[in-house]
Amino acid sequence: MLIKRSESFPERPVIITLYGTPGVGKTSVACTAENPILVDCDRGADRSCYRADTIIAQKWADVIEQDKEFAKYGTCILDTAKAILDDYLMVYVVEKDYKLKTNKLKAYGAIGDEFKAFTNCRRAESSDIVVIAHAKEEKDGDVTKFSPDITGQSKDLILRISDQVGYFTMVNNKRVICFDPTDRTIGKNVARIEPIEVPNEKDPAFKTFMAEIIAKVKSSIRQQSEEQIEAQKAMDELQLTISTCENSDDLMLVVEICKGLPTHQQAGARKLLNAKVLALGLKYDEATTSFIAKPK
Amino acid sequence: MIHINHVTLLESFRRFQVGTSETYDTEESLIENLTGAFKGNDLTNIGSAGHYLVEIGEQGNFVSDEVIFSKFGVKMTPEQKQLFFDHAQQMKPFVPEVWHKKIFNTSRGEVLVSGTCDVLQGTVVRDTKCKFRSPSMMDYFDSYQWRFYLSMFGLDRFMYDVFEFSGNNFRDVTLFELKQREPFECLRYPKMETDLVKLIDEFLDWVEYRNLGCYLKTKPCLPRKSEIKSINQ
Repeated sequence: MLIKRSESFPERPVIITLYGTPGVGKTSVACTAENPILVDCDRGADRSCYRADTIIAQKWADVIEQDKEFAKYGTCILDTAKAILDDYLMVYVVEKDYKLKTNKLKAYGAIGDEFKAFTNCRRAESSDIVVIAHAKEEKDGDVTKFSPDITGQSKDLILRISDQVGYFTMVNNKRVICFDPTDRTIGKNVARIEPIEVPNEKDPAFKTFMAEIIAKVKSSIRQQSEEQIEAQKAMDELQLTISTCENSDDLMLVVEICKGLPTHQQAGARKLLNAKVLALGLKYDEATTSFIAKPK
Repeated sequence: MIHINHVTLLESFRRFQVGTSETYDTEESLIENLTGAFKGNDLTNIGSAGHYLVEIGEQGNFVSDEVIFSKFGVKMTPEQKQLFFDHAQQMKPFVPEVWHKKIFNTSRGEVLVSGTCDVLQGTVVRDTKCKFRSPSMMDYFDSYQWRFYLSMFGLDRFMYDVFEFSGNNFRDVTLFELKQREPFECLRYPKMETDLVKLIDEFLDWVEYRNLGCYLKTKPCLPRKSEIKSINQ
């Protein structure tokens, strides 16, 4: 499919990562996504109070074996990222290439490739992905931070490919997901969702909780894509206008146009205008509020 | 008005404060940044060459070896230069090296923070990073650089474009492989502005404690002379 620069991207499947303290209900919440299938590599699916069809895997090959099943579902839940990336996939890539047993750097590269291939297949099937991870306490200087419990390079991969990352914990006896990055937690919040309380399992709102978050994320991404196209178009036009300026009057006209632009476009326009002013051998004169010839 | 004339200074302070690297993020290096004693090194020169290749690449121009060497003292292979050029072409249209400023209301009153972002692409601010070992995305995630630029430009999305050299030999990187990593995205969040003001306050506390205030006040308080004052006021 060719998408021209002037066209917005079609709605696409998204990847959400939820990490949090054990027993807080990560799997149950993830299972409230639309038509989910759970890949249980953590052997904890039976503790979840809200069930989904489940693949119980002892090794990554068990997951691959069920490859055709995924297309029947709307959301693929990967539980947990650490078990899949650091344990199952590590064994899987070493089985495929024994040299990777001692070359950890290459092994993590191969794990990343396998994981991306898996997520790309799910995306091609229009399936959203929810990645579940435990929270790990880390010291960052004097500050204690919580982040997804996944090894370095795999964590980079998960954070990079995720559209939304939330920390799930108990606050005043209430279950809360915070998608904002804070000085203690990692987060990614494309949908600008405020810290959100997870409803009780008996509350009807719980049944569609994750499905609604996924819908919000998709809508935000689409809106961003449209805003980006508009901004690119505006900058294209401005570049063209500035390039045709020949004298002070032309430049002053651009200055007037710029005054009505949003902050970021004004900053970009100022850069372009400066270059043009220099090229024309002019400078801004405050006394006459116009551009005059630069003394040689 | 107090003027902090580069976002990098605030990020250097944050890294020093949390102790990100005991080798690089020392108080001495922070003071060198503040006083202007730091003039760059081999690694930063390679990074500057990368930025320049992206900037010139936007205009569709390819930079010769002679220009790269005379400007930055850096040697790169045609393939390495091509990677930066292709990156610039893919991002088009964009405006490179965009200077901007913002006034923050802190506990010490108004503080002007200014800085130059590498790339302004529509509604996205982008930064080109050249690294010489496997980069940790967590370092970028924790950074306040993207937070300040998003705040200053009034935007929501920031992307790190990371180029990784497999090594370096002073300013000659021709023997090393260069790979472009997938871009890493950072997003605005509601409490971001509060976090920024808090960091500025902490930075100014440190400046006062070390009696280095003169280095802030000697910086120009307004846009550089070449800036056109009639815009953005």
